[in-house]
Amino acid sequence: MFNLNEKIADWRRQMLAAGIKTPVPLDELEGHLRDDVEQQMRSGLSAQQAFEAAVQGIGQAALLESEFDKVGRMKQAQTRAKHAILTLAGIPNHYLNTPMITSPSNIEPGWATYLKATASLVPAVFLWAISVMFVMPKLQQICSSAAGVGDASFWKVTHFNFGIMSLFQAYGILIAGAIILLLILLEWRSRNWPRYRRAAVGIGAFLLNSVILISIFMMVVTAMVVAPALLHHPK
Amino acid sequence: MLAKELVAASTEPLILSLLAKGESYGYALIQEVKRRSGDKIEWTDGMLYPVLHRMEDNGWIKSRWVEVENGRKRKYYSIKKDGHHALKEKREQWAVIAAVLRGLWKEKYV
Repeated sequence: MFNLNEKIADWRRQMLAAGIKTPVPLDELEGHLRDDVEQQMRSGLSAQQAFEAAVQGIGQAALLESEFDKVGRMKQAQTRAKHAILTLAGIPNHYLNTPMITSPSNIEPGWATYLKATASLVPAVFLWAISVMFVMPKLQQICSSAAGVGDASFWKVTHFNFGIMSLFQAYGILIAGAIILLLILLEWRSRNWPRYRRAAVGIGAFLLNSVILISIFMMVVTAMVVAPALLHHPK
Repeated sequence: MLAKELVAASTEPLILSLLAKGESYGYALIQEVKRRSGDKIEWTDGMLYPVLHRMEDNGWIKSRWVEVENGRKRKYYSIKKDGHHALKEKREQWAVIAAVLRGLWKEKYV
């Protein structure tokens, strides 16, 4: 007695042996096979005849595998090309192989994330402290002597930069305390925080580094603009 | 029956055009193309699926499993925004070829 389900199970085994990957393509092909068998039986064929015709229609396992393999190879080549470009651009792309929000099995320990963020901030914070303590007061003095030199937008940017530096100088400890408190709260209360910690701390450290470096760069530009004016300034 | 090369070249525009009308699944796509071409285009059943998977990887179409009768599942495909863009491009390309051929054949019989 012909048993369609048994025959389909045999056919699946042949496909698996030929290398058709389970579950997606094989499940889809089985669905197709069953649709075809049903259709052929409706047009008058026996179950056995319908099955044989459907198997013939779907093609040989080895041929199918080679077609699926072509698609897989193209996908692999695209992924490799993407990784090569990211590596050349200096972006650590092994993180991009998995989602940015990491799975629980590969979450980085909190101490490692905070240690790395602190280490990346040390040089910029050191430079900022030196600039605020020794360079900025002198530069502000020079600027007040050179007031009126250059255009208004230059002075606007300069004062804004001094404002930011002064803000960090006055409230730096408070801001740092608030951030540390927020991180302690997140570590203590949020169950999802470990999944987002690495990305959030990394972005925060990057932004803080950028602000400090841009500020220091602006101070250098200010010094370069006002210094020549002072040469012609009456004493 | 049409030449194998022509069938292969027209597979993607045909799939995109059919899916632009609504979501469908592999077996139904094959039957629809067969019916519309008067049995002149007959895709090898198993060959359609690697093409569908490639188009899904390209971001032109997306798929979802739907439970049909007897607990069986069927994978339905639908067209995405990028698929509509690709279809527009392919329509323009095929229109150029059709117009050139039409013009040439018209000249021949004038």
